[in-house]
Amino acid sequence: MSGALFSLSWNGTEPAWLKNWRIQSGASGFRKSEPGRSGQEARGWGALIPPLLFPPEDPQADSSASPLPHLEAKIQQTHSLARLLTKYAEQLLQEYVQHQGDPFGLPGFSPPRLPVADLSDPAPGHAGLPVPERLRLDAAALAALPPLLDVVRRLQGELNPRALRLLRRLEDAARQVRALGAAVEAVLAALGAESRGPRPEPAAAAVAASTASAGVFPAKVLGFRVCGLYLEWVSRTEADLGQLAPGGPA
Amino acid sequence: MPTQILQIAFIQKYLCKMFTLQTWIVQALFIFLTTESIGELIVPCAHIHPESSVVQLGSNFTAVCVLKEKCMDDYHVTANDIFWKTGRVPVPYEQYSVINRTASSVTFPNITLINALLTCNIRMFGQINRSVYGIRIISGLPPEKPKNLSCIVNEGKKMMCQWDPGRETYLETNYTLKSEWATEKFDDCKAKRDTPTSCTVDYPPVYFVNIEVWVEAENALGKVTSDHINFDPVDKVKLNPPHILSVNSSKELSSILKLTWTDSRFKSFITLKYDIQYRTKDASTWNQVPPEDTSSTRSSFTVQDLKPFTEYVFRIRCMKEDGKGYWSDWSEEASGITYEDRPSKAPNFWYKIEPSHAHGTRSIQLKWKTLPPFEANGKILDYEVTLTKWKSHSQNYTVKDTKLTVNLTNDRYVATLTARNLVGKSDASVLTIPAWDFQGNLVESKCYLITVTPVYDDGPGSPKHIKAYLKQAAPSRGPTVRTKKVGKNEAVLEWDHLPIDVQNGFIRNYTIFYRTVIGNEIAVNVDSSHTEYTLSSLTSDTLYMVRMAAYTDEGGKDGPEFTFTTPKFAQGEIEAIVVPVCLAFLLTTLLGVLFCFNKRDLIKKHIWPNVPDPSKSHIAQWSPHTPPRHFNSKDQMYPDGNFTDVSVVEIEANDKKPFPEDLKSLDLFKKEKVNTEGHSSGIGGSSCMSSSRPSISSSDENESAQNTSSTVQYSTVVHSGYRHQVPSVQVFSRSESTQPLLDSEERPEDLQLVDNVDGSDGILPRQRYFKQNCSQHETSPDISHFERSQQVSSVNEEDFVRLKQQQISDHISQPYGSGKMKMFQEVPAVDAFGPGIEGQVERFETVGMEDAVDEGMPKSYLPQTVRRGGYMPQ
Repeated sequence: MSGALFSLSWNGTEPAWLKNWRIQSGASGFRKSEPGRSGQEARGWGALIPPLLFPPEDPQADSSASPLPHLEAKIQQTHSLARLLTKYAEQLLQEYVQHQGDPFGLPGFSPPRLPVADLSDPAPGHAGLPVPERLRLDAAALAALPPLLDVVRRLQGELNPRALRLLRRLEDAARQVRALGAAVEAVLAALGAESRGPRPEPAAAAVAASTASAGVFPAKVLGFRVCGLYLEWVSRTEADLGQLAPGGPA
Repeated sequence: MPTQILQIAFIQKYLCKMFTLQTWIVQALFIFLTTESIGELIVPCAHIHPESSVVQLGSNFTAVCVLKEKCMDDYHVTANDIFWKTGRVPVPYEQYSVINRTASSVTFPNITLINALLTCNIRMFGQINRSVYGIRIISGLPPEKPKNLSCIVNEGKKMMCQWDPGRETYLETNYTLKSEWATEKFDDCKAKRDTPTSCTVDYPPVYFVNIEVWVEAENALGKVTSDHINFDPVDKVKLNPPHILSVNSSKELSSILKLTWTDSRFKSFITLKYDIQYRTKDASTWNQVPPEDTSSTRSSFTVQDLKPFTEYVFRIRCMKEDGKGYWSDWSEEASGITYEDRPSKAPNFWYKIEPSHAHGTRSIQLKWKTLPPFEANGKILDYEVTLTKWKSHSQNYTVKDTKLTVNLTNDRYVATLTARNLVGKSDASVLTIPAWDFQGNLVESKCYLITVTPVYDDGPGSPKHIKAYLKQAAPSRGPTVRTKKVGKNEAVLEWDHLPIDVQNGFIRNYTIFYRTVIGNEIAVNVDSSHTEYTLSSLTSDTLYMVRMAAYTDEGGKDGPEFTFTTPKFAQGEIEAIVVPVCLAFLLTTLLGVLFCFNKRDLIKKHIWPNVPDPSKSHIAQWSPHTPPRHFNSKDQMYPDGNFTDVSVVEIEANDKKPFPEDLKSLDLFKKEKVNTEGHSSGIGGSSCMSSSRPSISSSDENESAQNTSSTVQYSTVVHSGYRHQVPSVQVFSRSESTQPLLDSEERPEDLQLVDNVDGSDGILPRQRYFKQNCSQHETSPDISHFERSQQVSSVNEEDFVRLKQQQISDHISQPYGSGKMKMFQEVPAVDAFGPGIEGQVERFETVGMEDAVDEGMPKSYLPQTVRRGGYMPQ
């Protein structure tokens, strides 16, 4: 499926990518993977999508249903998750700042945007990319975030052992961002735009070691940076998914 | 030994509640009783197998007690001295089985619910009994598969799942709730013992991520897993109830209240729907706002159709708009009062005349009651009383109280009363205060309305009314009856009630009289409340006269007579007859047409068979010198080779050339073959046996040939030529013969096939032969057709004749359409007809050869053309 498939024009009822997809797929319904079938024939849309991530409940009833409602539901669900996590990320950042003391809580405090291993800032230049390509970048960033959040949680466990809610939020954030990453991957798979191969092993351990040895302030800055990146990436993921969701922007 | 006792006591003290350890304690106790101390070691005197003591209900349980050799030696016992006890009850000996010198078993068949101590005992010398080992037997059932697993996520709390554990197991059963995402597993949630059917997970729910959940149930007898359920926690959420902020009324509309509330914070992520209920403050039942009006996220709702100035209580709950999940709890109740409206009813009032000493005046006290709240529609500010003397100006009074005393003259007055609240005034109650000298002057036959109003200390009560006559009389006139609807056998009559001034009494009933011109009058009584009556069982097309009388208690009065005529037919009756008949006729016609269309060929054969017209014969063009290319003319004759039908003329018994004569012609044929070729009066391919065979005529173009069941006249070509001799003068004469046509003449496909002889010589010889069914020219140069003819004739002459008959009968039984023709062409005749046709095929081939032989000489007996509508001359 080419990038042109995901043109973002909006005709008032459904996105063009959806219409194109409908045409290309013939809207023939999900073909379930059948035992004994293999290769391209057995790889219907349904086969590409992890069943767990789909609206579940009656697989029998789904056999003859159009895949479009499933795809739309999946996009809608993932978009809602991204929105929810964006809100959670805002709360996490606020809570993080509260526990770091000055100068983190001071107005106008803006630490340098130091590079973080495995994770870059969402680049403005990505705006011109097709949505699937942007989603691939989102998925890669989301995959890099959990180990970094784990590192921050460990560092905060040492720096602020009594900030239980912050620690719990950091732990939840790592888990939630993994779920969002998997959901985005599933959407990409459903759209036929597989994410790119295995990712390199995260260098989170090295980051943690180097940061811990550098001192308290760098550790706090790292946490601030990671929480900020977490917010930026889930926010961007929300925006990207919003363009796919029915009723999304023109 | 005291050390051992202390140890056991210690164990018993701290672990007595744990079942398994309890069993060990029991065992240890017995060990203590029956063991020998060897240094620091404790050696039991016996063992019971199995050590596991949990038994499934309904199963058989066997325990084996094995004595130690040392004990046996010390106490001089063997397995025969073993006996068993459950608790203190000895087990019957029938259940024992001595396995060997040291072992004895006991079996409990179909074990029931049990939780008892099973001990192995020995009977020592001197009838001393001693327990040597014991185990606790507990019976139970393995867990059933947990069913109906469902989860709920209370907003702001953690997910709780519950399930149906199934039957009682009688054993300690652990239930573990397991859950996982596609990306990771969560910690198990172990159900507490006091709530084994539910468990609340430790982690906060993450909405919009599907989670898979299942339950594992495990006890000593087994482990079983429930079905997995997979859901998005947002679809199992139970939101916090909305909080009602306010209930506001509207000055513009007294029947509405606007409810505003705050929702769950979750509403920014999901669409909500609401359930709003309300009731008046004192009511116990709730009214429901239609759900369709509150099926989307909102923060206020205006409830309508409420009563003015009434306090209402509201409550609200919410859930996901798609219905997935659970309704929230009801919100706290909130109340509001609708705005006022003008009083909906005027207050009842009455007057009281108080004695007055002043001449010409009287003191009147007007009294009324306060309106109930549902009629006052607000707070009554004051009352307005108006007193109007007959043809005079009125006096107005505004009173806050519920009574008014005024001095009036002795004239007649009309008093009105209205109540006023913040919004407006009620309608006015009107009361007439009669003049002082009012005396009753009642007359007969007049209806009077008598009103009685009770007057209490706090005001007047509800008045009661009644109509009355001083004396009744018969009505002044009777009711005028008319027809409302007249049917074939019934008529609906209607009338108006009599005006009150002509009733002269209470109308008790009506009587309807109706009759025909010649019949008796029939009377029907009708209740006075009716204004309509249906006369039934009338005769159609009859003139009826009807009149009506109204009766009071004092007599009746007839009204004018009315006549009407019943129609001959009921409405729609004619249509009901005519329409089906027309439809049936149309249907019959349609079926007839369809039938004729389908059987048109058959009908045509029987009604107007296609008889060749000799007058259109073109035999005159025939010349014996014409070369055998004459068959090419068939291309024009049947350009597309399409034959729709072939019929065979029925051969009558007295035909001049009946079937058996085929044999003769065959003989003749043979003779001709021996002598020379071409001796035949026939033409072309049909020359061979034409003189003795029934005729088949070809039809016009593609038109099917018709079966001439009757004999027809046709012409016969008589020519004087013979063999290769060309007659000097060709003589044609029309025969008066009534001989039927030969079948070969009616089989155009034969002709067409013969055409093919020229066009594609040698391609379809067998088919040609089959179709032509007569000797044709053999194209093979090797064998002379004479020899072939002879061979065929000599080999199977009878078969040949039989085949001829069969062919004829085949023609009779099945007409050949073009499709069949094609089919025949595709099927080799030899295959289709078997070996019996072989000879004929060969014979056909001789024709081809004959053609070759005749190439250089005049073919005087072959026609040049076969004309349309003509026939093949014999």
